[in-house]
Amino acid sequence: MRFDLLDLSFFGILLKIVLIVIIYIIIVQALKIMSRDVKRGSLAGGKNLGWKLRIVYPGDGGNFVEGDSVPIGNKLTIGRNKFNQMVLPSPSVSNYHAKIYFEDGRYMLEDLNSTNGTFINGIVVDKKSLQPGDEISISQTVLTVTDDE
Amino acid sequence: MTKRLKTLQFLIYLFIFFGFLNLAFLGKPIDPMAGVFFAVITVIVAVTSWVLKKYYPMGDRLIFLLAMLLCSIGMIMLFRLSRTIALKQLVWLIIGIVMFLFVVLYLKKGLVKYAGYRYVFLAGTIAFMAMATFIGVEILGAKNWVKIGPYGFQPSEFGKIFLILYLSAALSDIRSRKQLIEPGIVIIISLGFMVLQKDLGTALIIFAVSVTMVYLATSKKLYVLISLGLFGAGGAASYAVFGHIRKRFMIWLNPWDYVYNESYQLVQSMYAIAMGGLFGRGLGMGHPGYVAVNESDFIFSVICEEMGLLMGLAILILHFLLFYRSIRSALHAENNFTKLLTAGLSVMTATQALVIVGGVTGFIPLTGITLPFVSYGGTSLLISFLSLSIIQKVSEGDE
Repeated sequence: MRFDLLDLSFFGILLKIVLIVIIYIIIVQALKIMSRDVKRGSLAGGKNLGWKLRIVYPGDGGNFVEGDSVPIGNKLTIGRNKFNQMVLPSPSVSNYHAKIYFEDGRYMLEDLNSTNGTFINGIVVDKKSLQPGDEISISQTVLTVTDDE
Repeated sequence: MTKRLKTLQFLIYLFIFFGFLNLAFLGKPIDPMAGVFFAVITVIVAVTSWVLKKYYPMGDRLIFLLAMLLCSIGMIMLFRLSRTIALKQLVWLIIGIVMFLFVVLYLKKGLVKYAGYRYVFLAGTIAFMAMATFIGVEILGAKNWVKIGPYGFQPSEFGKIFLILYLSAALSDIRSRKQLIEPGIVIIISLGFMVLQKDLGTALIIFAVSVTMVYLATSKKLYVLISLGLFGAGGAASYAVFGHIRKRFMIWLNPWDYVYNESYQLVQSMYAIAMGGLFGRGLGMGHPGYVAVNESDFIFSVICEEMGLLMGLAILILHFLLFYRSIRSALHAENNFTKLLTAGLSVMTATQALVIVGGVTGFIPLTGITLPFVSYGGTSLLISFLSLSIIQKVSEGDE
C-alpha cells in the first residue's frame, strides 16, 4: 500500500487524528496546571501551603533586609511587640498589628485593629484571603506573598 | 505556572491551525477563508490573554483559554457546515470578546455593590421570562423567540442571567425561612413561563440553578428534597396536561418506534454519532445534512460524526474543567453575593451542556437548547461570554 501525501483522504485521516491528539494533550496540560489545587487540598488537613513573605522594602527596622523570605507557616503575627513572630520596631506599627493564618486551605490576613491599618495591593483591609503576588504594606514595610518552593 | 499556560496557549493555536488547515483543503481550489478564520481566532486568543495577563495577572487565565478552545471546536465545525453561519458566529464571537474585556476591565469596583439592585433584577427576570409568551414567535416547537425587525433573540437567555443575579442578591443574606418565600415565588413564575413557552430545556436549567443556589445559601438538604418533590409533582402535572411533554417522553423511551415521524431528529443524531466512531470520519467526510438543526442544538452529534466520539468526550471534559475552575473562583469570592453569582453562572453553563448532550445522545428526554460556547447562536454566545466575564472578574479577587 502506497501513501500519497497529496491524496486528500490520507491527509484527512492524518489531520483528524492530529486534532484529537492535540486536544487531549491540551487537556493533560490543563490538568497539570490544576493539579496544584489538588496538592493544596491534600495539604489542607493540618498542614499549610508553605508560602512565604518576601521583604520588598524593610522600612521599619527590625532584623530584616530587602529580599529576605519569611515562611508564614500555620500562623504569623506581625507587630511592634516583641512577642510577635515578625517584629517591626517602629512607632507607626501597632503592638499587635496583624496576623496571617492558614484556614480552609488558604491563607487569611487579619488586621488586629491596628492604628495605621494594613494594606493589600494598596487597599486597606480588615480580613482577606491572600493570593501569591499580593503586596502587603504595614507602615513603611512592603512584603509580597510568594508561593515558590 | 506561566510557562505551562504558554504551552497550553501554543497548543490551542496548533489545534486551530490544524483544524482550519484541514478545512482549507476540503474544497478545490484551496479555501483562503479558512486562513482568515485561523488568523482572526488566533489574534483573539493572543490579544485577550495578553490583556488579562497585563492588567490582571492574578486572575485565572485558564478559564478563558478553556472557553476559547470550546469556541474553536465550534467554529471549526460551523465553518465546515456553512461559511455564512461561521462568519456570523465569528462576528458574534468578536462582539462577545469585546463585551468580555469590557466587563473585566471596566467593572473596577467590587461586584458586590450590584447586590443593591435586587428589585431591578427581579423586574428584569419577570420581564424577560414573560416577554416571549406575549410577543414571541414559534420556532421549532418552542415559542421562545422575539423578533425585532430582522433580528431575533431569545429573551429567556437574558432572563436566566437576571434570575441568577436576583437570586444572588436575594439569597446572599438569608436568615429566616420567610425570606425564602419571595425568591421561591419568582422561581415558580419563571418556571411557569418556560413551561408555557414549551421551552423545557431552559425550565430544567432554571430549576437546577435555583436548587443549587438555594442549597448553597442555606445549606439545608430539606429544601433540596422539597424542590425535588415539587419538581416531580410539577413534572407529572405537566406530563398530564401538555401534549408536547408526553411526546418528548415517548420519543425518549422508544426512539425506534417513531423513526420516520416524531423521533426522526433524535434517531438521525444517534446514527450520526454511531457512524463517526471513536475517531470520526474526518472533517468534510460525514453527512451532517441528515441531522436537523446541526449548527446549534445538534452540533454535538455532528462533531461526533466528523471529529470522533473522542472529540465529543473532550468537549465534555473541557466543560467539566471549566466548571471546576469556575467553582474554584467562587470559593475565593469575598462575599456571599459574588459567591452565589459565580456558582449560579457556572452551574448554568454546566447544566446546559449536560442537558443538551444528554438530549442528543438519547440519555435524557431531548430539549432544544444550545451547547454553551460551541453552538451557533448570537444570544447564547453573548450570554456565555457575559457569565464568563463575571467568573473571570471574581477569579482575580473581587476587591
